[in-house]
Amino acid sequence: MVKCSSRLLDRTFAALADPTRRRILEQLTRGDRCVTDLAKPYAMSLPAVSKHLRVLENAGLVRRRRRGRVHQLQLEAAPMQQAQAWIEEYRKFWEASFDRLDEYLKQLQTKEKK
Amino acid sequence: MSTTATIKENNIKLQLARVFDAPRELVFKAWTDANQFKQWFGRAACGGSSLQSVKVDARVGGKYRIQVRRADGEFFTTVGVYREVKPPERLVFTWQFEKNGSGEEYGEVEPPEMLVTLEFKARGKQTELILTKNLRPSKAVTVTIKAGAEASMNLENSSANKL
Repeated sequence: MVKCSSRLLDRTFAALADPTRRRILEQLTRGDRCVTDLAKPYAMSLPAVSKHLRVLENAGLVRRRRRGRVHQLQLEAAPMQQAQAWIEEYRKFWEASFDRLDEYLKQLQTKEKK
Repeated sequence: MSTTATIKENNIKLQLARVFDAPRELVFKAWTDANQFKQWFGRAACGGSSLQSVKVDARVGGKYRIQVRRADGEFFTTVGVYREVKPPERLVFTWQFEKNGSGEEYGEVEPPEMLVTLEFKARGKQTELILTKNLRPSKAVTVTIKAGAEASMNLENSSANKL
């Protein structure tokens, strides 16, 4: 339902509000990466990247897998799909409303002509 | 008819456009006259749901309330405040849900607050209606999700330069 899904989106949007985090997500759409890979393009310290990764993990946008000492990061598609579901629900709702309005306006004008 | 959806920084925007076979004064009135509004709005909400009550006070600062009861008994009550009322060209109102929604009067609302903007454009004897719905309005355009795309994202890196 529209009402529930919009509530779940809060954390997704908070995570997306930062340009560095969006760049990290963009990198992950091209495949899994480890933390050092992700830090490279920004000349950022590992702790700084880790901080962004935690926000993304908390929002459920990214999943971390440990392989010994290497942490592999993976994109999690579900929250983005929720965002799409929100759009889809409202699109259906408003299009159905427009259909009703269209019908109503036609009836109204037929009545007026009589 | 066209639909676009974009995810911006802290915001989702949905836009729909439709041409109606009626002059815009008539289309505008269908939204702002309570008796007319309840003839069509909300009835399309969801299958098996029924429109319980409609309140419309289409003045700047005035409120509206649309109470829909679903087949399973849950109430689905939308409320908002009119921000702009410019007949017959523009109507802007907030869009929120009530926590409970089963009462007869305005009840406690829950976040998020959305914003709906309606633009009525004259197209001869017809009217093009453009509806824009914003979830938490903000400015910088950043991420666009194409409908149907799975986890792929188009990043419009307008703000990337600020890194």
